[in-house]
Parts: sequence; C-alpha cells; structure tokens
Amino acid sequence: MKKFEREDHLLEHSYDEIQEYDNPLPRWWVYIFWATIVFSVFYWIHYHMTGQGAPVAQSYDEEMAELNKLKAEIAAKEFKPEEANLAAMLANPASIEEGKALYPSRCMPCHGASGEGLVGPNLTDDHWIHTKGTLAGIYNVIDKGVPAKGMIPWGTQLKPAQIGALTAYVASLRGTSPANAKAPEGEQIAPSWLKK
Amino acid sequence: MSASANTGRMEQFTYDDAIVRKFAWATVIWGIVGMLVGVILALQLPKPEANLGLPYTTFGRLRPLHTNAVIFAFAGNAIFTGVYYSLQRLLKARMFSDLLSKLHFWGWQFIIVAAAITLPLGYSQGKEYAELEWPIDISIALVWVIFGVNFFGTVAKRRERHLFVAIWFYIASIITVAILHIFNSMAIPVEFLKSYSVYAGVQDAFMQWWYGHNAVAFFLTTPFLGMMYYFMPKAADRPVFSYRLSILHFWTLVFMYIWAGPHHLHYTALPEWASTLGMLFSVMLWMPSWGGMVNGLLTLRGAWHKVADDVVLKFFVAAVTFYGMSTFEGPMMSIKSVNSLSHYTDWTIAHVHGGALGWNGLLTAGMLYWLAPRLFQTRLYSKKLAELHFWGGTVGILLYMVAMYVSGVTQGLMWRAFDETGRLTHPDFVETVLRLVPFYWVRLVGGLMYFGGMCLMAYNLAMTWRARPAKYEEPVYEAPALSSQPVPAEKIVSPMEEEKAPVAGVAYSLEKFLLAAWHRRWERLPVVFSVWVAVAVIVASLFEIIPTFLIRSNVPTISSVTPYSPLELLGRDIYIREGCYNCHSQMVRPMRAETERYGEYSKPGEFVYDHPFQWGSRRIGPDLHRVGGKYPHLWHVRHMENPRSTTPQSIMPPYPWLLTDDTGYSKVQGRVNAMAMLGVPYGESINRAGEFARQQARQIGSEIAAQGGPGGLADKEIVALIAYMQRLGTDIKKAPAEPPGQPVKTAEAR
Repeated sequence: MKKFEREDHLLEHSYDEIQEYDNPLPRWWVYIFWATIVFSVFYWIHYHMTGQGAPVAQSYDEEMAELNKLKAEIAAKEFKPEEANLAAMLANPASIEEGKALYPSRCMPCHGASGEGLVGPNLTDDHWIHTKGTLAGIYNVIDKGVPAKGMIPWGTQLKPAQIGALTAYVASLRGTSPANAKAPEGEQIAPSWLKK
Repeated sequence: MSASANTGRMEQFTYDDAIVRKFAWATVIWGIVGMLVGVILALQLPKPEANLGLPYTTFGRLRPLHTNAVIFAFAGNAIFTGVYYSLQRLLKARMFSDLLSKLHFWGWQFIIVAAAITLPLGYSQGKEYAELEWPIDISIALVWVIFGVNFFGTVAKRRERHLFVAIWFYIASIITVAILHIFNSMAIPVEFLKSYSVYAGVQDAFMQWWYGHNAVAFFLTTPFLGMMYYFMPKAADRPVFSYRLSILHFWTLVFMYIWAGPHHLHYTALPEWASTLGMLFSVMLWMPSWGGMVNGLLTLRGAWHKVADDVVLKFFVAAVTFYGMSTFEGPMMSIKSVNSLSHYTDWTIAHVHGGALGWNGLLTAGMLYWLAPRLFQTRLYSKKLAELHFWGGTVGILLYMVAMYVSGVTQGLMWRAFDETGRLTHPDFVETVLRLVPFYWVRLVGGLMYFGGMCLMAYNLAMTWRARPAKYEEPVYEAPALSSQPVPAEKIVSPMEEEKAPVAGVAYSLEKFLLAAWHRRWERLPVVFSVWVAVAVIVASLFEIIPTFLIRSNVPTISSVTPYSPLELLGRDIYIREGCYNCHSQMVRPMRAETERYGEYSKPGEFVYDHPFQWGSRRIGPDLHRVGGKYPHLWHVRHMENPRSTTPQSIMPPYPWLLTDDTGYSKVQGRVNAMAMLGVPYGESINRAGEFARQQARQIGSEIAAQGGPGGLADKEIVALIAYMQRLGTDIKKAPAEPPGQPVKTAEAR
C-alpha cells in the first residue's frame, strides 16, 4: 500500500479558500494509538476479568498490615511515658526547650501564650482536673486528649518523645504566675515531681 | 467546491459581522473580568485578608465565579465569535436569523451577569462548573437552543454542499453540551434560587464528572479545534495537513472523550470498574487528541518562516503546543498510580491552566488579533504590543505552571510521607500548606503577567476599533444556491486506480474506503452527520451511566447510615453556600497516608442521602469526611470566627457572620420535603422539621455554652453548620440502630 500513498495530494474541494491535503496518517501516530488500545485491553483483562490484579481495597489492606507490623516493632523500642522517664526529661533543659518549641502552634490557642489558660484551663497553678498532678497524667492528657472538653488527642500527630518534652515543658510552667491567669479549676494536689 | 454539484441559480448575500464584533468585545471584557477574579483568588491563598472580610469575596464563593467566568463567559464568547465568523464563510450563507443571533448574544450576556450576581451571594448548586441555580440553568438551556436553531438553520440554507471539518467540531459541541448540561443539572427546585440535585452520592459524583470532564471536552476542546481548523490555515495560508487524519481524530475524539469522566474519581467511592474505564479511555484518548495537534502544526509545513514575523501564527503555534502538552498530561494523570499523587493537589491546577491559559486563551488571542483588522476594517493598532502580549502571556503561563507543578508534587509527597516509626512525617496538615506559600506568590506573578497581556490586547483592540471607518463596508458575495436535486456521488480516484496498479478491483474499493469516500457522503448530509455524533456520544455515555445507576452492588447498603436531621440539612446548605467544597474534600481514599491522617476510608453507602455530593476535587484545607466528633463544638465556633485562633498558620478566611446570622428555620420544612420527594426517608420530619431543627439547635447551643463558649448561639447559622460537621462521616461508627426521634428506614442503594 505504502507505495501508492500520495504525498501532499491536494483534494479538490475548498471551503472559504481553505484546502486540504489527503496526507496519510503519520505512522507513529497510528502505532501509538494501537499500542494504547492493546494496553487498555490487557489492563482490563488483568484487573477486571482474570482476578489477577488486586482490587484497591485489597492493596490497601496489605499496605496497612505492613504499616501495623512496623508500628508494633517500633513501639517496643520507643520512649516509655513512665513517671521516672518523664521526670528525667523535666530535669533536662534541652527537653524543656524542645517542648517549648512545640507549644505555640498546638497548645497556645487554648491555654494561652504562657499557660495562663483561655478556653482551656490554667497550666501554671496547683489545681488539676484530669492528671492528678502526675507527669504521667499530663502525658496521658496530651496523648489521648479529652474529647468531651475539646482537648485534642495529640498522639496522632506527635511522637512519644515529643509528647514527653511537651509534658516536661508544661510541668515547668507550674508556679510561674503569668498575667491574666485563669482561675484555678479542679482538685488542688501537690505535683508528684515535687514530692520526695 | 465542486461546481458540478451546484445547479441552482446565483444568489447574492452578505455576512453578519456586527454580531461577530459584539461577541469579540464580550470575549475581551469577560476575559479580563474572569482573569481579574483569578488573580484575586491567587492573592487570597497566601494572603487570606485579601477577601476584605466580606462574605461575598471569600475564596469559596469567588472561585466558582472565576471558573464560570473564564469557561462560560470568556471561552464561551470566544467560541461564538469564532463560530459566527467562520460558519457564515464556510457555508457561504448569512446566519439563519439576525434576531436569533441577537437573542443569543444578549441572552448569554444576561446569564453571565446573573452568574456574577448570584455566585458571590452564595446561590450555588454545589457542583463544580455547574454551580448556577436552576432559573439560570433553564436560561442556559434556552439560549443554547437558540444558538442551535440559528446554527442548524444556517446549515440548512448553506450554499456549500459539504461541511468542512471545523463544522463537524461545532456540531459535536452544540449537541453534546446540550446533553451534558441538561442531564447533569437535573434538580428539584426548592426555592427561587435553591435546588437539590436529583442524583445522590456516587451517582451524583459520576454525573458531575461525566459533565465536568466533557465540559472540558466539548466546551474547551472541540469548539476550539473547530476554530483552529478555520483560523490556522487562514492565517498561514496553507492547506490543512491531512483530511483523513481530521476524520479519524474527530470520530475517535467524540466517541472516547465521553468515557473519560471517572478519572476524576480514582480511589473514591466510585465503583472500581468505572474508574478503570475512565483511565483506559483517557489513555486511548492521547492520540485522538494529538491528531488535532498534528494536523495543526503540520499545516504550517512550508510556512514556518512566517511564524517569525506573524504574531497571530505565534499565538496559534503556542496554543496548539500547549494543547499537545495538556492532552499528553491528561492521560498521564488519569493513570491511577499517578493520580494517587496528583489528585487533590495543585498539580491539577497546573494542568488545567496549561490547557485554559495556553490552549484556549492563546488561541482566542490569536483569533482576535487576526479578526481585528477584518472586523474593524483597518490595520491592527500595534503589532509590537501584540508581540509583548504573546511573550508576556507565554512566560506568565510557564511561571504559573512550574510554580503549581512544584507546589502540587511537594504537597502530594508531604501528605504521603511516613517516618521510620510508621507515623506521618507531616501529621499537621497546615505544615504542608505553609510549604506552598512561596509558590503561590510565583503563581500570582505568572497570573499577573498573563492578565497584563489580556489588558494589552484590550487596549490594542480598542485603539484598532477607534481607527475604524465611519461606516463598515458590507461586501456582497455571490454563489449559486444548492439545488434540491439528489447529488451524484463524487468520483474518487484512488492512487492505485490512478496508477493502474495490478491488483484486483476489490483492492481499489478497499482503498477508497480507507480514503474515507463514505465520510465524504456524510459531510453533505448534516442531519445524518449530527445523528451519528449524537449516537456516538449517547451510546458511549450509556455504557457507563446504565451500570452506575442500575447495579446495586456498586453502592453496598450500610444500614446505620440515616438521613441528615433537618438542622444538619440546613447546615449542609450553608456548607454549599459558602463553597467549602472548593477547598475541602469529603472523600478519604483507601491509602494508608489518608486513613492515618483522617480515619477510615469513605464507603459508597455513606453518601446515599447526599443531594448533591460534596466530595470536592482539591484539598487546600484537609479532608472533612471524618471531621464529625473530631473537635468539640467550641473548637468549630472559634475556628469559624477566626481560623487562626485554633490553627495559628491557617490560610482559611474567617466566617464571623455565621455567628451573627440567623439560621432561618422557615425554610427548613420546604427543604426537608424536597429531599423527601427525592426519596430520602424523612419519617416524622416531614411534618415537624422546624420543631426538630430548633430542638437540636438548642441542644448544641447549650453544649457550646457548657464548654465555656458564648451563649445565645442556638439560632445562629454556626450551630446548623456545626450540627452538619459533627455528623459528617460518623454514621458508620454507630450501631445500626434507629436514632431516637427520627424514625427512618435503612439506607438503600438507589
């Protein structure tokens, strides 16, 4: 056939003086077009007829199984929010600095710039609502939140060591008596880390 | 033109260029308006204060105005300019009716003005590019019919036997846009400017993107291809490269485009088979789309030297090149694995602006510069300014696109990044937004350059217009009328025949078939041609629509999913009014990065009462499908009043009026009843919607006060919105019991 293809053969018709050539389709154009069609047929067969291609939900389950396995492995090695570990962080100025850096974008909107309390309670007094005045209690509130009261569970966004640092920073605010402090709420308890 | 076919008497006629001039001015004016709104939106992302704190100018309300203005006002008027100019000449006939032409023009401008008023006021159907409320939708349908009658009337009284390829594309556009508009806009009117889509959830999403994608196809692609086929050979004074390529790419494009819509819904609750079909037909569309590019660019063979001096050709070459880029990128982004990264990001924004600014915008500009001396019958005021427009505009597009590509890929990768402990690297959504702010500034600069080019063109055209003659000449043309006698078949000599190739006669016939002799016959039978176009479009649509609506397993029933309470429905209407879907999706995809961030992935059965669906297409803010119960009411109150009080770096605009405006319970009964008409099982609420709404509002109002928030909010819009947001995505977490006070049947796939 190719032999008989006419290059730049002008067709007789013209429309408002526009003429048309009868050039053959570019070879590459035809080949790619066929290739996309063949690909599509095989793709459809693979995913929707033979059952070999995994459906999205199945791929997702596999992905999650892998992720959960990794999480379990990591959890065994990670920072443990025990009272002693947290007390060590409170004694370490570097940890307090780390917590201080995490504070503004997460805690400030509800607890104020210096922990004086806004919507959320005052963090600087000796009154405790959920924590019983323990470091592990503060950690737990930051980690799990108090959804009923609007405290966000930060455990989905922060790592245990970061929550530990925040705990240390918050504990360090105790007794700072900032301006505009909110009235104390909850039970008055001497903080655990000052006992002994 | 073959003289033998025409045996009618000679007739004299003129062309109506006055209507073309009107459409050309409307194109320029709405182009500037639509792009100015775009520039303002581009500024609002890095600087939310740029909305001046007014409800009417928030991102969620202005973005629909921008998209509607540039698509339907700018590109729409550009299409009508091109069609009214070229159609008359290609058919050797004045438009069918000058009155219809005027009705079409003024009707369309009226619709645009109505859109420009209602969208900032918050009247919206909540479906992208189809936001206009039902009275405007009906006007659109009417004006489109006027256009169609005028168009086909002109075809009927033509003096040119065959239809040129440009006209094929116009026909496809007119027929398909009518079908798309009518079927996607099906809604139950509730109030003068309020309606609910008759489709819900998965089906509504399917219809919307069948429409949305084919608005791109049959509003922004095929009419512009038709214009390219007329204006490109005219400007280059060269024959079209290949008639056969025109035929093949026209029919493949028309047939395949229609299937591609579901690629906008990959990994969503849309059934997987539909998603796959959308992807595969998009991949197969690559070459049919490129057929237009090839025919455009190869038409310039032997005329490339002209491109250097002719600014019109520069615009056309750049436009066709951008078309080629977009139509390669489109199929690529429709591949599921690519889409999983690109979806919901600025990558899509880059893609559409490559097409819109590059292909539609530059082609329109080239056409207007070519038309100006002909319409105003004088020389173009300044070639230099036109050159400046070309270079400024093109560099502007590139800046815009590069900025948005980087922004899109950056955010896409940040969303899916996990650290070595199996946690999201960027769990805080706003962190991924802040990273984009520098690119938003670059995009603004690119957009301003493009906008500046449009202003230069307006000035250039105005100055050209000022130099017009006192009275426009109206040349009289002469051509024989078409005879009503049957037309003898044209004799087509195939190359083999011509060379008397030593093959059997059947080979000659086969070759003639391949040379599209059969198509030549269709081209002189506009009715047959139009019917085949309609058949191609409708058949392809039904292949997807019928299973989407009829196969029950597409939307497995979830028995705990119940209708929105009356107050939640009012809240949902506020969500739609404020255009929240422009920045927030409600569709968690089955990917670990999404479920870790937002919660369980979204199931088809959760949306059966969503008239319309609100899945969204871009996450400028986080997904909201699982936001229900995530924050306390008070958090929402403070966040809506000022988003930066809860998220210090947020770029969301404040909505303080929600705390002061009354909910307006008088509307709720009508709205519940409309939903019930659509088959939502509302039970007792059909009679007591207002009572139930007040009851729930009082409850939420007192909970806000108990959390330490302000009192007296119960009857304010914020409470309705909170009721809706707190409900979002929570049904599947409930036991499949019937909530008290709301006797409802179980959800069914409908």
